[in-house]
Order: sequence, then C-alpha cells, then structure tokens
Amino acid sequence: MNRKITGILAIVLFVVISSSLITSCRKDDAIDTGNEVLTLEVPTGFPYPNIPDDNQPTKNRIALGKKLFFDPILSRDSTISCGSCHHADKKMTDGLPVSQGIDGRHVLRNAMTVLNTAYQPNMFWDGGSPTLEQQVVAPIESHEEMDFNVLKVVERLKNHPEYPELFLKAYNLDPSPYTLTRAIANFERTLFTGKTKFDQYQYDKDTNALSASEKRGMELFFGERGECFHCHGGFNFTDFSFKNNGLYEVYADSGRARITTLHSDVGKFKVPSLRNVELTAPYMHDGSMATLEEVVDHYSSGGKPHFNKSFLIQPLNLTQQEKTDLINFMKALTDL
Amino acid sequence: MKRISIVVILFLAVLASCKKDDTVEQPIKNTDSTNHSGNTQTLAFKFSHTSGNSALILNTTLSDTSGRMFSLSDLRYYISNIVLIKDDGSEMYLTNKVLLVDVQQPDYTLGQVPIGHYKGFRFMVGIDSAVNHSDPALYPSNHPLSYQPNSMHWGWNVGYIFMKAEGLADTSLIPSGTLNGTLSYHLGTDELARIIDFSQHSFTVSESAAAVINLKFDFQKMLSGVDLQSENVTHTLPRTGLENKLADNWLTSFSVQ
Repeated sequence: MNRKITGILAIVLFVVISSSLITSCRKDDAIDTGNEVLTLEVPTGFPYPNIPDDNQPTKNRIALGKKLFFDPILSRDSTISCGSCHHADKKMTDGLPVSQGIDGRHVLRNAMTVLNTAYQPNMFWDGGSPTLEQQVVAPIESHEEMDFNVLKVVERLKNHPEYPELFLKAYNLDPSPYTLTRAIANFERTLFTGKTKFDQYQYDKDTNALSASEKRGMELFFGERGECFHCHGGFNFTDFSFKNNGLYEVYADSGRARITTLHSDVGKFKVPSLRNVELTAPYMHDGSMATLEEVVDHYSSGGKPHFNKSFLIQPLNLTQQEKTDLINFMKALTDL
Repeated sequence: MKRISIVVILFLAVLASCKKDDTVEQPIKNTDSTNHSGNTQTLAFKFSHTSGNSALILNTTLSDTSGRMFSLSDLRYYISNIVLIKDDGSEMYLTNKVLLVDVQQPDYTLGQVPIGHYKGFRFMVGIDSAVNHSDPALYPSNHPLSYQPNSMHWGWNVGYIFMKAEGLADTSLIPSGTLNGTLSYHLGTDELARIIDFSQHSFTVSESAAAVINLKFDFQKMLSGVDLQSENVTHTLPRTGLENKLADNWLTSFSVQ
C-alpha cells in the first residue's frame, strides 16, 4: 500500500517536474527557433540537393548568409557585394556581357545565375571550384572582382557592431574563413527556381499550360531535330557538363582547359541552365550574344569549326517558324 | 525503490535532452605529426636563402648568373611529405607536417623523432594532390594551410600556390641595371610538386639537444636557364614552360649544409 502510494507520488512528481522542464526547453525554442535544421522547399520534380553535414540550413545561417551576400563589406573598397553581379531582379545575373568589379574592372566572364546552384557539382564556367563553400573566396580575392583578402574580410566582420553576434547565433563560432564561407553558401543553397509554365505542364500535368507554339518548340527541344536536350536536359535544363559549342575558331578564353590544361578541353564551358533564360541576357560565357534569336541562329547554323566542338552541334537549318517556336518554348521556362 | 530509481533516470534523461544541440563541430585537421614510444628528440630544419654568393635579403638588389639584376619583396614556399630514412632503410613519414617557409624566417620544427642515426631524408616542394584541393577554411588559423594574409591559394582553380616569388627585375633588352619590370612567379598545380631527395645525407638525432638540418635554397640556381628579360612572370596557368623550368630547378636549388 505504502509502496504503491510512493510509486504513484513519484510518477506524479516526475510528470510535473519534467513537464515544467520541457516547458522551459520549449520556452527557449519559442524565443529562438533559428537553429532548427530546416528541410528546404524544393520545386516539384526536383531532387533534394546534397548539403554538407556541417552546413545544414537553419534560419539563422540563411539570414546571416543573405546579409553577407548583399553586403559590400566583402570588397576592398566596400563598393560591391555578391549582389552587385547577382541581382535578384535579373534572376541572379547582372545583364552585362561580362561583370564589373571594383574600380570598373572587367571580370573575365558573364555572371552565371546563383539560382539552383545547390545542384552544381562544381562552380564557375570552367568548374575551377569544387564546392559552393570554397567558391566564396574566389570573387573576394580576385583582382578583377573584390580585390580583397578573406582574412581582412574576417577582421572587418569581427569589428562590426552586428556580425559577431550573428555568427555566434548561426554557427556558435566567431567570424572566420570557415564560418564566412559556410554562411554565404548556406544562403545560396536556398535559392531555387522551378515554377514555370513548363513545370505546370510537365509536373502538374496541366496540358493547357503551354500554347501550341510552345509545345511545338518543346518537341523540337526534346527531339532529335533540335537535340537541345542532350546538353540542356533534366530538371535544371543542364547536364552540368563542359562543352565546346562552336562559338569561335580560336578562343580568347580557353575555358575548361584553363583548369585542366588539356588540349581536349580548349573552348569548353559549363552548359548553363536554361531556366529564366528570357531574363538572363546576354548569353554565352562572354556575353557575346544579346538575344535569344542570335543564340538560336547560332545553333541552327551549326557554329564555327573547332577541334573540340561537340558532335551535337550540327547545322539544323531551322525554319523561321521553328526558331520562333523554340524561343517561345524557352520563354516558357521563365518563373511565373 | 526500484521505481524511484527509474523515475530518477527518466528525470535525468529529460534534463539531458535540454542541452543545446546546435553547436557546429568544425573539422580541424591534426597538425602534430608523430607519436613515438621510446626516446625522442626535436628535429628542425634551418633554412638559409641565397642568390649565388649573396644572402637573399628582401628588397635588396641581386643578380642572376648573367649579371641581370632583380630584387624580391616576397619569397614563400610550401614543404610537405617529409620522410626520414632510418639506417635499416625503413622510412618514417612526418604525416600532416606542412611548412610554409618564409625567406624571413629560418627555423621550422618538424616535431619529435626517435633518437638515432638516419641514412637520409627527402621532402616535397609543394602539396600533394590529395591535400592540394582541400578547403583552406577547414584548417585552424595558425596552420600553414589555412588562408594567409598574403594569399598562398588560388580560388579560381582551387589549389595552393606552392611557391610565391615577387619583386622587380631588369627587363630591358640590354641589361641596364634598373629594375624596370615585375618579377612574379606563382608556381602551383599538382604537376609542379617536386620531391627533393637527400636520401644520401645522413644525420644523427642525439639525446642531448635538438637536431637541426641546415638547408640552403639558392634562388640563382632556380633561375638557371631562365631569361629574366622575358621570363619574368608566370602564374603557372596558362602553361608556357617557364613554370616547369623553375620547378625542375628546385631539384638543384636546395642543398644540405
């Protein structure tokens, strides 16, 4: 009898105390859910991206990365940020043939979008950086871009009135090359694009989402007549490979060969995604084509001869109607 | 009583679950090299840098073997993959030991090694491919492979700059004695790593005091077959052949004193 009462009392005591403890835990969480690991919202039909274990997304990390991304504190003279060449209103590109760094310096190549960058197996037009995290330092230290040093950025961040606390909140660590590169990559990995008329047609099975011309363009794109899909296939309209598309007979920029030094890589560049292609002119690694019409004319003609040109680049001799259809289809890849 | 102890355990479990779990473990590579049983003593490299018969002092005028003038404002390079060869021929790898040698700093400790007589040693100028493409942000700030205030790493083609030599050179067609041009060698990429072999240079590590191996690097020897008038700049890529010539010359630029 006595034992029973003691037992019941103990259980009651346990429930009361532990629930009050749990409440106190919850209270913390209610004040700050910033460090909960989030599941990213990925567009329909997209796989979930690979994310490094040490840089899983949280609200605090994404917010810190976003603040850093748009902060000119990263550049030597504090004039440009990542956002200077990756505008939100231009689908994270800059509308220039080649980007501009500090002092009006010209960057070697056209700014690639940061959207869907979580899926890139390597970074840049030439694949020179293996991870999104490591990529962060390149524009900071590039002479033509921010012309600064990552340790000097870290010094600035440590002396900043807000950043040290934000880094502590996000990573429980001070500003360092490690936390700086993690935070920016963490934010960049959350930038998805994948809600277009094409996606409605393809993934939401809305057969009316595309017009007749867009559907004809799609047939061309995914068929053996146009052959576009061989390189620009898959959910992100790229196979992430490096290809020479017959842009020049002699390349001023050797592309992938700049990294591998292989003769067989001269003039090869990363196949870019075609999502939002309508809004990301000018085109090609050097921004040498201003319009989609020029681009389609190039592929229709088969391009210039080059020893590394992809065998897929052949004269297509598209009719005017086919060209129009193809462009209409590409415009159906614009975010709604 | 049993029940109460169960309750206590549950209670503790609840307490434990309250612990913050948002701490990020930053992967930090082991910097210290060897752990040996038995008697050990410190081994160190002591570097001297010369250009021919002149001591290599930054921002002073030096010359190549033809008499063409140059000066250096920075000379740093990586040494890694240090291997000690014991008398019985067995090899001891100083794993994870990387030196960033700066012309302004002669002394580099290699760690504790077993006391005894060694047949020789060898090392790599540069970083092997397994480490060369790792993320510098993962190393603690005092590690030679972490980001440096004056960068020893390429971001656009991820990898370390094995050797950075910067300064001025007389690039006039006919040597004029004025330093009117740039001297800038940024040497790197996997292919440029070179093994410097001193397997016939024996040394002894004794109990009494730290053992020191005196190494000399002669910059003039690195310029052997190099025409400073036109071969005054290479950042390794694009390859011009100069980068390979300089790296090959490392083999003869180092000597044991």
